[in-house]
Amino acid sequence: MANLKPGGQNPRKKVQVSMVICEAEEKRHRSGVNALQIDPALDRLYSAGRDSIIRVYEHERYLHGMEHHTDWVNDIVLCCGGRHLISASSDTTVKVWNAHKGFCMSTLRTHKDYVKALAYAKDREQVASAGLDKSIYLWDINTLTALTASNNTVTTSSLMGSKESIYSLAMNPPGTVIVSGSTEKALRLWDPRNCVKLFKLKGHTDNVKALVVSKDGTHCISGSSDGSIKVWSLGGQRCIQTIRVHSDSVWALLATENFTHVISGGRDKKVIMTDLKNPQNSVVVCVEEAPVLKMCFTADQQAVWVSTSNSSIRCWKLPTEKHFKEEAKMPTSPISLIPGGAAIRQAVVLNDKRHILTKDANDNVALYDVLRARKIEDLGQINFQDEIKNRFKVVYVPNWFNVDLKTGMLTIHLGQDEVDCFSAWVSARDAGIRDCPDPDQKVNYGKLLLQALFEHWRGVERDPENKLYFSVPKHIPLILSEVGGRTLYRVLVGDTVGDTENALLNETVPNWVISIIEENSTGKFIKVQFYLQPHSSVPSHLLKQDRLKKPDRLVANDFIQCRKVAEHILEKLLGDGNASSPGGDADSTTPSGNGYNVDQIELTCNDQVLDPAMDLRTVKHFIWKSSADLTLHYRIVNPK
Amino acid sequence: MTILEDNVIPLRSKLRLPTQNQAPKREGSFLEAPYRKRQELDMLNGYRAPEAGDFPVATLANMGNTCFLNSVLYTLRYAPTFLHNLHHLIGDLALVSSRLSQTKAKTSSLGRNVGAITGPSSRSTSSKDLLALSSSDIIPKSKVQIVTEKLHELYVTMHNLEVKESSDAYQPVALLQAIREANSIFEGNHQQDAHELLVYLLDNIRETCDLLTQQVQQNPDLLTESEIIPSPNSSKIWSVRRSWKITKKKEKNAKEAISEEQVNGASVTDTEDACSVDGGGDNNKKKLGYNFVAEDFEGVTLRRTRCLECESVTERKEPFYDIPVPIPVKDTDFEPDSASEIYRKACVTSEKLCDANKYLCEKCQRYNEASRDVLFEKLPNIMVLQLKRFTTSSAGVQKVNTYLPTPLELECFCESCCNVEEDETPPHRYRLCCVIMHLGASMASGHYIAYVKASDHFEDYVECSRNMPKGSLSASSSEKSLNILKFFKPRTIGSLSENKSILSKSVVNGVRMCKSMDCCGVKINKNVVENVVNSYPRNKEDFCNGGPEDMWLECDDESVKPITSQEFKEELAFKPNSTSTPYLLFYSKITDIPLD
Repeated sequence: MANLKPGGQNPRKKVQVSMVICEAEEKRHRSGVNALQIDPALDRLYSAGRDSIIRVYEHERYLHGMEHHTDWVNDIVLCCGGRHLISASSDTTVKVWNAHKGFCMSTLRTHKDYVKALAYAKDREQVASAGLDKSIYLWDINTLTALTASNNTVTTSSLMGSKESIYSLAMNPPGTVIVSGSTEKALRLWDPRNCVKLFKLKGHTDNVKALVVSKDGTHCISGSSDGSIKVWSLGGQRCIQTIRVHSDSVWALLATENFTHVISGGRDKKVIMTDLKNPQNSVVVCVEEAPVLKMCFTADQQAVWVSTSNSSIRCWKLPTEKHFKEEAKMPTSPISLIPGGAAIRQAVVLNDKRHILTKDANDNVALYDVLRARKIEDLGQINFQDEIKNRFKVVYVPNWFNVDLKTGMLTIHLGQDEVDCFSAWVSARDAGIRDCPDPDQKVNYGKLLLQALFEHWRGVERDPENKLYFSVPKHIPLILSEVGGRTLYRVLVGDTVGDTENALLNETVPNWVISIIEENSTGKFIKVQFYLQPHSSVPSHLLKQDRLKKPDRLVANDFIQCRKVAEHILEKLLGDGNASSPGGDADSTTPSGNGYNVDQIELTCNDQVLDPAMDLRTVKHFIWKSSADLTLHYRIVNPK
Repeated sequence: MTILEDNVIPLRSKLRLPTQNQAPKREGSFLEAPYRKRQELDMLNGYRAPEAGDFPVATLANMGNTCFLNSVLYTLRYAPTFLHNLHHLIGDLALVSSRLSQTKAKTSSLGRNVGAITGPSSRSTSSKDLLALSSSDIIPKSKVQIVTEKLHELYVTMHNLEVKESSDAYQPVALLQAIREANSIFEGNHQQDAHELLVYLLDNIRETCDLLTQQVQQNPDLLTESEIIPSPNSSKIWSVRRSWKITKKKEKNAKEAISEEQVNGASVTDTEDACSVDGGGDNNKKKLGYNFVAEDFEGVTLRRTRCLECESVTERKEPFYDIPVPIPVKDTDFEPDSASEIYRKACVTSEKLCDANKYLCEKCQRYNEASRDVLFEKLPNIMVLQLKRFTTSSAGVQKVNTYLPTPLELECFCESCCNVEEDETPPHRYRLCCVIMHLGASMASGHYIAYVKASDHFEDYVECSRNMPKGSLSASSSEKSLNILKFFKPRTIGSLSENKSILSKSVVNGVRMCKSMDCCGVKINKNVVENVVNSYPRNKEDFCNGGPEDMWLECDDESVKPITSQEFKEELAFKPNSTSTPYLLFYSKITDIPLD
């Protein structure tokens, strides 16, 4: 069963809200490219990116992106003469696309783990998907493309018997045989026409990551992490040839139309073409700059597009008879190139817990603002570690989000687990809010961001009481997902205003988000416990008698500044305690009853004098450096 | 006094290649005499068992649920190299302590102390050598150190009882008290987990070693030039064999061995050529601060994780003291696996990280499937296998009585041994030296007894490279060399060798016995053992083929009974529905030199 609706909320799994900080249009792949497909009729190339985006190039120029997945796209298949595209992703879904217009038609949520591989039987318009959940599902493409919002169920046949995670899958065009490769190290075969399990082929000593089946279904070639390529006779149920041309794992395979040659690519970064009749006869097509993930023929079959774990896609000329006879040398540069972008490889959240410093694959350093969901500064190829040090500030703000780089872009997760997204309270001044009437008013980072993300959704608008200070760009993808699990819904921030989107959001947005953005609940402040002790220099006659016996144990909000603590000391602990001014309003310049003013109270922690503007959580984190209750000492400086 | 010619010491020449057949002979060498004199003795004394209270070694009394303590104490006493190393640790502590107090007296303002807590005034008055020093001891001691000292004292007392041939069982009250003061979990007269105590004691000694090192590092002026602290170094008995170079080149402190690194496939091999053995290293070995617990009991596990997506490999090393061996709860049909194979499979494991337990690959920046192998980069010289007989379930702690064979010899399963080609001999193997058995149905109601291989570990003391620091302990070096022969006196009873000339030759070559043997060493009453051996029915074939057999001691609190290897094997053999099960197995490493 599959449906178009967002996955029903599993009540036991907590839902988190995520956003991807990206450009309005990400024209270049940010990370590796897992799969390639060509449409010879339109001269289009489709590439499936680890950055979750499928990109379409026409005449080798970027046409558009197809965005709907939320994780690596692992495989794509172009079907129905180029009208439709099927994609498999680590977000556990299979999606059906209108290839010409580039929109997602439906989402199949049958798999329970990463979907790693697809196989296509052209003659029958059948596609099979398989993945780490050990399942293989067989889909009728004409049924898939006919799905609508109201008619959203589809039946699938499943091929049973796999015992381990499946990493590769292949079917012949007539759809008479399907082969899977898995960590079981063996190939398993079925007849897709009746879903009957056929047999198992043993011989590899490691995972099988690449497969091709001959048109007639009599032969099969497998590439394995054990470094070998094996040719199997399916009729004879045995391996008829083992080809060892790679020095490392074989990850990608292509066979020529008539099964005379095999083209293989792998972890050793090489693409090699081997004559199957004479396996000693092999020619290195190219040496890429990164491990080879996938290859696909150009329309004329005279060259191959090669994708790697880097983002660029190159086209390399295939060797001809001359090259095999060593009468001519292979060219050392590609005949064509689709340049990729740089993936973010490192991200460090700065102390203010608002800015993130990143370094990409080209060693470029950039600064991002999480609250505004955008890049604010390109710093170029500077020393990353130095820049982190330079930007270090003695300020402590609790963690309130998680960062994820699996797509090569910054993904920010807001949840209520180990990292509670409502734990960071800062003053409006520190948050950089200028038009706030009270600069000392505390704002919550998590709440601010959630409000911005759902700004356009059902009337969550700027009411004066609950003023919105930040907005995020409308192109930012908003993702609702189960923590560590499947994606429930993905929508662009600007699209949340739509009726359909609105309805789908009503089903998926968790209550903890709704309560904070709609009902304007303030959330809880985080408390810090601490002791106050007089320094030995404080004249005992100034202290109340009981102060000498035991230290004061106090509880305060973690963002309270030391000045406030000093005021408390002045009012409550020194003198007779009859200070007239109520707490918080003490005018620091006016001497109080006992003749001292707040500037004369000096607080120390671990013998270090504290800045009055420093808050208690910063003191605890950077000066006290212990999880035990904080102890502060106070003394009077410049006594009259 | 003893006449030397009759008591030839089986010194092992470094240059001689020990073969597999020779090894058992040496260790059980004191038993060779009985066979030689068998005929005459048979006629003279034809009784089987020794008289009651007549034990070959000193015994420990049960003070009420203290068999857990006694079994561990017996075991450590017979664990190769343990007594000898413990003795030197205590000697070093006393030396450093005395120098510290001298310094203190001079400067009268020494800021740093040994440990924060001052224990009750317990002094290391045990050793004759240390008497003078401990009287001037003014540095407060940590509880940890006191436990270590009490342990040594106990072994000194046991030695003295053996010298006196006293058959009174000794009550290890002082040690137990020190342990209870240092660690509250051993308080109360309950039965305790012997494994827990073993781990505690070893940890305790390791900490004492660290304390000593720390003390010396803080006061570098305490040392004379010749006493510079070495990095953890190889122990002598192992060094005689091939492996001694290994530990020497190990520079890192084992405790900091936790490191995660990407590897390119090449890993540091654990063995080096035997020809690199030279005498030069001896001087640097086993000086002050030598952490023998880390050296002899510590191994290194290697956790190798391979992301199934990018296929890059990450390795993580972790030190360990014992290896938990899971026991199948059900009596599964015994596969044709050899005993060695069973243990290898239980310890060297491989798993797949998948489903909800995926691996966060740093290269892919995401959770992927991964394969994880747990291997042993280094197995310790004394390997402790803890059979996981006690499982916690909803019904409380339960004992698993499933039989698991206890082989007298075990194939090594460290990485270099596992990677050996079919036709090659692995570089090491293991020989059983002690077993702690648990008898009974539950941990609370059970009883512990220890089986130890009867040996005085004479070879541990031969050519001890630890020169006593000059002037620090009683005997000056010149005195020692003059009196060298007297060190052979106490232990000569049991030591016999076919080749008399070895002794004189060895002495000429400067072979010296470490005098610590006289302080806390094991002294086996040969007569008692002989009686048992002689009375044991033995057919001629066995005698001709088997040669001298290893003797074992069954240490059941105040009763220590010598048994033959055969009897011991029967004790370990499968018995249906038996609740007497081996619990802790101690294996000592044997490194063979290839015969090429």
